[in-house]
Amino acid sequence: MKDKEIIERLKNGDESGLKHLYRHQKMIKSWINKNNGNGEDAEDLFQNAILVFYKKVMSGDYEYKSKISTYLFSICQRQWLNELNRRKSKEQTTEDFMKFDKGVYEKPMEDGSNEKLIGYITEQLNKLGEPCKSLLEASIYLQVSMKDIASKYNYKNAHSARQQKLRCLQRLRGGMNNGIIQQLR
Amino acid sequence: MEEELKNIDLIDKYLNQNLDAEELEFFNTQVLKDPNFIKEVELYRMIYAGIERKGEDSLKERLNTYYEEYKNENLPKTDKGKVIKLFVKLSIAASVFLGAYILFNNDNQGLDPVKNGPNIVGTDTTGIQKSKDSIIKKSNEVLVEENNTEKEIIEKRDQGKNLLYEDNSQLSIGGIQKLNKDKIRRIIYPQQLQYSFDGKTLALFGDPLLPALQLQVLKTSTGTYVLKYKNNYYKINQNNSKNNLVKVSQSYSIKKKIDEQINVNVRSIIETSNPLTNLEVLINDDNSSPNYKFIKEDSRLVLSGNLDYSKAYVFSLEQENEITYFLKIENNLYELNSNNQASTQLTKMDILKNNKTRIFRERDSFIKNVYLAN
Repeated sequence: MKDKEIIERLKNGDESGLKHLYRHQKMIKSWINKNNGNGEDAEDLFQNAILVFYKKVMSGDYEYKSKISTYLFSICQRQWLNELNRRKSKEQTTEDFMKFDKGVYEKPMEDGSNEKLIGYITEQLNKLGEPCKSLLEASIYLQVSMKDIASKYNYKNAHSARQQKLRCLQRLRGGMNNGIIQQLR
Repeated sequence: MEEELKNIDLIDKYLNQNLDAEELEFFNTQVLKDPNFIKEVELYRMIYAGIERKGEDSLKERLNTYYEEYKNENLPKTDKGKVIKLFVKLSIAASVFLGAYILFNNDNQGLDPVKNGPNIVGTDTTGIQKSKDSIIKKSNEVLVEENNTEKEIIEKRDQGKNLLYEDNSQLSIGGIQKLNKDKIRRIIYPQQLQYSFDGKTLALFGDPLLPALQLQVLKTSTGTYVLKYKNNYYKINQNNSKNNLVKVSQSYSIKKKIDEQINVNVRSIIETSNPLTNLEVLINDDNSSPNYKFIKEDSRLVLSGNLDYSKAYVFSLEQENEITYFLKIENNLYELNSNNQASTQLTKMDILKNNKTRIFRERDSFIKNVYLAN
């Protein structure tokens, strides 16, 4: 499958192309192996690189300039060099560390105290049903534009897709128990 | 209703930093006017975090599946060669076996595991089964003790077949034997994470899938060690017993890397497994090609064929209300389908195949830098 086709399919909600990207993993593995890492590190890095790539494509931020393999390789390389720097450099600054930390590996999430509340919210999300679940995920997690959501989910235009998103949020919020929220906060 | 939608619209724009000047002004008045409004904003922030969490988790899961599919479709082409090699090995083993069989076993009856099963179901004699096995329940168990147990098992194992094949006094080599109960293990996954820490090495128990890159070791100015994992913080105390990793509500900010490193050792799942009591495993090491079958009514599993069963472990993996059985012989893993009541060929599987099989990995330890935090 060609790069262009993979991207087009992804944009149309067809993820079958992702599988083909794993053929590039070998290249990353051998590079990581040569650079003080192991197969496991390479797998983790590669998986995350695909995740970044996927999100970029979905949010419309992916610029099709180079091959996908080059893109994936550069993400892995950057992440790994940062990791090695962290391991080796004794004069490591906080900033660099934070940069890595907030990179693809760990999204800046809420601190531990909100874990329970987030857990409750994900339970409520399961109850929400379609199309709300997919729509919220597309808009909030993948940052897909309202225009793209409208065409994917057959809404008249971006405005009505946004109205639908807000109604989904309202329904999600409405299904949540204020008492429980109070407790979990 | 409309009012509420308007507020959600406002909050959504705020969280995405999309408010224009006029909207921002209105937002600020709302904040001042209504103390509940800011609570609602904070709740939506959490809702968004929940949606992101869910989205990311499900995407990761899908990626794992695609990776698995990819690997299945791209099995190395050298498998043919391997089969031939295995065949040669089996033939050699078979002839050795046959020799031993003739030498030692003149009046062997060729026991059928099923028909003669009840004859060999005896009492359990090996003392080590009663040893401290349930690691999960006894969180403060002393590691030293455990190591001894482990050593004991290994020693006994190395003494030869007598440990592995218990109650075999009436059985002869090549007949049916019972796999030692210590090697029939129950794994519940996910499970409570545990650790032990001696100041230099941090051993983590309970999840062999822990991603090395998401672990961070922090140290506070008072010398307390904290483990950061997936944006949660866990205090780690130095002691040689195994303790639960308990999340602390406090969060830390990381200052700088210090000149200290910790060796992290993600331990094998075997160490946090329990004995599985409702399954009996019989071994019929004849010279057939390796196969297995379940005898459901007797809660038995029969393993046959020429594999080195002296190094075998049988596991039941309980995950999301689903039980999967595995046979592990050193680094080789075989999935056992409990619906197979007729002899089924044992097929080796890639231990990295999926998240289930990866649980059985034995991982190398790795070094983590320590960061000063407060």
